[in-house]
Amino acid sequence: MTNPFDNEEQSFFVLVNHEGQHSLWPQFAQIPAGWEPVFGPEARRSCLDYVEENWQDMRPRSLIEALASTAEA
Amino acid sequence: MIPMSFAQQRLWFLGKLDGPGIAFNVPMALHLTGPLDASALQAALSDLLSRHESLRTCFTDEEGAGYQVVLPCERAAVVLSTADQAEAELDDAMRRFHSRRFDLERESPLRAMLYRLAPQQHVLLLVVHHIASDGWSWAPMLRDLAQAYAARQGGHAPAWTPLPVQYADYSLWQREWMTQADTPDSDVAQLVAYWKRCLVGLPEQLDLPFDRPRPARASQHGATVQARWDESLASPLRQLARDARGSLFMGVHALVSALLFKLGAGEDLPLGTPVAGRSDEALHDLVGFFVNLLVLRTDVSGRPSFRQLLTRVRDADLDAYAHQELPFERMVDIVNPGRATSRHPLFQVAVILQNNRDALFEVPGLSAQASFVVTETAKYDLTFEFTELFDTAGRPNGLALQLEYATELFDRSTVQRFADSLRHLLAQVMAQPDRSLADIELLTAQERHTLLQTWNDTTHAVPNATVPALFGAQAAHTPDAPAASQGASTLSYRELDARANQLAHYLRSLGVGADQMVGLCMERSLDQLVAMLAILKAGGAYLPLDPSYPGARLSLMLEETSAQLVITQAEHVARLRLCGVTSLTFDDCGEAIGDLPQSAPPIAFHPDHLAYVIYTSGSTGAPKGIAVSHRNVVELAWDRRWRDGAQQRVLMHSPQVFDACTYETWVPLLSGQHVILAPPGRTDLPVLADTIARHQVSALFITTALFRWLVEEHGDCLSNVRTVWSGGEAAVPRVFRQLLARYPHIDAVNVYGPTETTTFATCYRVRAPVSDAPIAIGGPLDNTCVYVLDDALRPVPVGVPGELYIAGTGLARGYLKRAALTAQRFVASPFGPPGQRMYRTGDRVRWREDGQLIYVGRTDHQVKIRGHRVELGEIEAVLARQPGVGQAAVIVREDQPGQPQLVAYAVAAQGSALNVATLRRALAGTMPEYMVPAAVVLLDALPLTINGKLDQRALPAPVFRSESESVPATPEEHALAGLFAEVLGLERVGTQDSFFDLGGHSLLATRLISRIRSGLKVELSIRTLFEAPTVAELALHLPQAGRITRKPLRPMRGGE
Repeated sequence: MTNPFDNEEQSFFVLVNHEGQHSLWPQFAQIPAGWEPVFGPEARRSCLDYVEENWQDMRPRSLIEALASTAEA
Repeated sequence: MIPMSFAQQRLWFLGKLDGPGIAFNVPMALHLTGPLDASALQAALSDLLSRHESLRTCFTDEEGAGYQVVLPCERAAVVLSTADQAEAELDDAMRRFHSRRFDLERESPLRAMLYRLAPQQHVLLLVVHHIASDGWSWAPMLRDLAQAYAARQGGHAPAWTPLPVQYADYSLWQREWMTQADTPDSDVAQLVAYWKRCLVGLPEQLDLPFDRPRPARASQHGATVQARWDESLASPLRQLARDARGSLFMGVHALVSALLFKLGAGEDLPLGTPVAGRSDEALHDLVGFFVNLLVLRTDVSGRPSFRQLLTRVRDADLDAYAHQELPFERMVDIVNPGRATSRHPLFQVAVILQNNRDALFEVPGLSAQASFVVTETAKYDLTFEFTELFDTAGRPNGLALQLEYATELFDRSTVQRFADSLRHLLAQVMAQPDRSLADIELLTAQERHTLLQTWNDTTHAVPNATVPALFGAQAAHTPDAPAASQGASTLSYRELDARANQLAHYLRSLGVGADQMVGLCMERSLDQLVAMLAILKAGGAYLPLDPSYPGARLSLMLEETSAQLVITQAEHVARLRLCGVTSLTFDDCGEAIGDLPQSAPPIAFHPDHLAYVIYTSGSTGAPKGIAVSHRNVVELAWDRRWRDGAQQRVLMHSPQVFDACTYETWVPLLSGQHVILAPPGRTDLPVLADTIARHQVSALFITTALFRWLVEEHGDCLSNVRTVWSGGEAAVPRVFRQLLARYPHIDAVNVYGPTETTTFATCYRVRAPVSDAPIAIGGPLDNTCVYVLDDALRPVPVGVPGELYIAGTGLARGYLKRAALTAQRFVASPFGPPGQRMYRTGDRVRWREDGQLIYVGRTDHQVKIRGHRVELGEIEAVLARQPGVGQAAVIVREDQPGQPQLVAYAVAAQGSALNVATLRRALAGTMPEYMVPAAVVLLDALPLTINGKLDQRALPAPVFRSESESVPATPEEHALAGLFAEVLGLERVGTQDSFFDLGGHSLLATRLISRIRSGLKVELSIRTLFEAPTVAELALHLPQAGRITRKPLRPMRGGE
């Protein structure tokens, strides 16, 4: 049996949380609280391409914001 | 002579194979109320034997074929003994009687015993061997016995209509019928063709959530669990089955299939069921072994609803019934000819809908109630036996369920849970028959709460601070305490802090800042600790680099992390220059930093900044960097498990590229304890043992394989140790047993954790007595939650294997510069606070009833070799890239127990020729030593299974054969060649053979050095073996090596 995240035949979403972290998410499963779909449902490969293109800065958003406020101060 | 029927023959040879057992003794008790005439009963039993040849048949075999010997009536007898019996001990008495083995070669297969409980209260216990009867035989047997009894009571013989045929006729007919199998288009040939189609690719065994591994030989010990379902539960099932134009049996069959699917048994479920096998009317009134077994194969793939499953089950069952005449023994031959194993062939789980309403013993003046006696045997792993219940008016009144299970595989509590789950599942699917089974919840609300909350109640406050901030505070608090020692050198907290601060200022001046990686390529030393801390204090993150890695790998890591700088030692500078990176030689910094401030550089950074990046094997052919933050490290170091006072002196010996270093460094250094560094260089057990003993190490982490050798060969060094954490591979119970027997005071802990969740995620304190059962990996550490999920991302019940997901503050930031890979492995969690992530480990585990996790295996091709994570896919990809290689496969073999090794298989591309030595050299040039296969085997083609997958079992074991013809010339060479062969498990080793070409690896090297020490009284270093890996070369080192002065260990008590 294949793990649902590895199943090439399924459709997926790309989810994003408050930290800007991205998660692949199989379409059949309910979207967990605190996550928003930003892409999909699409083929797995398309979702992963989306992530590569759109999640360039992998630092958590709270860190980025903390640094920005330090810089301003 | 009359041949046995196929079914008899199988039973007979099972008995020959396993020794005569009692699993096929079938007892039935008749409770008789009223005046009883024992002599009439005795006569009736004789009548019964006269009537049914099968009950006076003995058995024998000649040259592999079994025969029936029908005894003449006068030579066959069933002696009815009578005994007064207190009712309280009736069950015991009956058990003694029905557990006696039948001697089928000499005695008749029926026995009887009459227990007198009171003058008008009797129990007649009949025990018949299955070889002479079946469930359907009870009706004619009891009916005939009753008629004979009534007749004998009246003083005459029973007036029976003679039976049309006897069992022997059936056997002869069956044998002849089966000879048609070779005639195309005959009935039998068509049956064989059907079952061939039906059974192709049948799973070898149904993987149930066993409590224990299957023994080599099944004892058939069994027990049962009973349940009863009201009509309110049973009636909707009846209705649903009717709606699907199916029977109640198909309803319970679909339900059991659904349960097995939810219990993780897979999507292809072969279940067994008996059919009467009396298709000819002439057989209806016979006692005999006619029953046939059918394999009902259910396909649960594609997320069907229960209603859809029921339709599939009905179609499959009807098809099987239409072909029910092929003897089960022939089905076995089709699939698995002549292979006896410890499991039942073709199926291991049976479903039965019992209907014994016809088995009645009706005699005027006597009230009789027949009941099957529960035997302590199990024919299969698990049997779901349903019986329809009726009220006095004959209306359906629910179902009784009896679950018979093999006690060597299951605990009662587990099977009780199966029964409970089946009821819960029935209620669920009746309420939502059109919902996909994958989405049906098998857990009750309370079970769910236990799994998700109770066993994950791990919240514990951790400071919101960076590693340097906490270290600085610690140094201010205990400036004079020893922070780290190696050999005779020690740094206090003040010294370590000051030196690291100076170097940090220098690194700042070189441009190191937050989230910047700095390579760390140093031997284990106090300097290395200073450098590590300095990198963090400068705001950067360290990237451990193993100087023994091939240049290509080092370059890749440096490039991907954009590390501009590597702190190293003089001897590695040249290698690093090749990788195009600036090296900072630690020893040369001395002057530059001497004047810099000893206070911490005044920089602000955040706990979410990175502390280190560790690379592990990646499945696609390139390693991946795991980016770990300060918060992650602090979370591990703050775990309450380190607060029991055992961590006073923590051993640091793991290679730097191994994340165990996080524990070895930061657990002691953030809490004022003392790091004891092993000497630099490769692991050398005697040296390690010496460090542990000399410095009175109190706590250490050690990988599974090293743990074993340390305990077995250097146990002495552990006498002052307080806690040992071991992990990385499946724990070996024997080793823990040995350790705890010798040192009961030691806290021995089995620990588990992927680098992605910062070193340790779960742990289990092992306590004596240690059984041979798998040792748990335990429960989650502080601020860690663990979820065991099925393929629909739902929590699985206790005992059911699922994939382990880990959530909590230990989760790394992700894979450096691999956003897509990170998004696949660090995924949204449906269970924690909103927005939380969980890491999908790829490890299969199951919950134990007490909330501890048991490791089951991997879901993918990641393996552990001597504690290192290895993706077989990475090695395969690299091998496949080599010129001339057409196909490649890499697997782990354990041809010598306890010594797993990587073996690669390569098939040459068309028109190419391959050379094993060239391939190994190429692999060694791109991968660390532990990833280089012990052997590369050339094949003409990769063996495939019937499904077109790689057939791992058909891959040949590598033959490590001495290539060198040269024989030992000197006594030293003789001795060494013998030890080489012994350690490598080979017959002979030539003097020019390299230890490492013959399957030797770093751990075996340690073992060889140890054998040289004990056998030749010579102390050699591991490094020497790496430099002189042949017998001839190593022999040259013997005279120079130190003669050992230590006395050999011998018993010190008593005797002399």
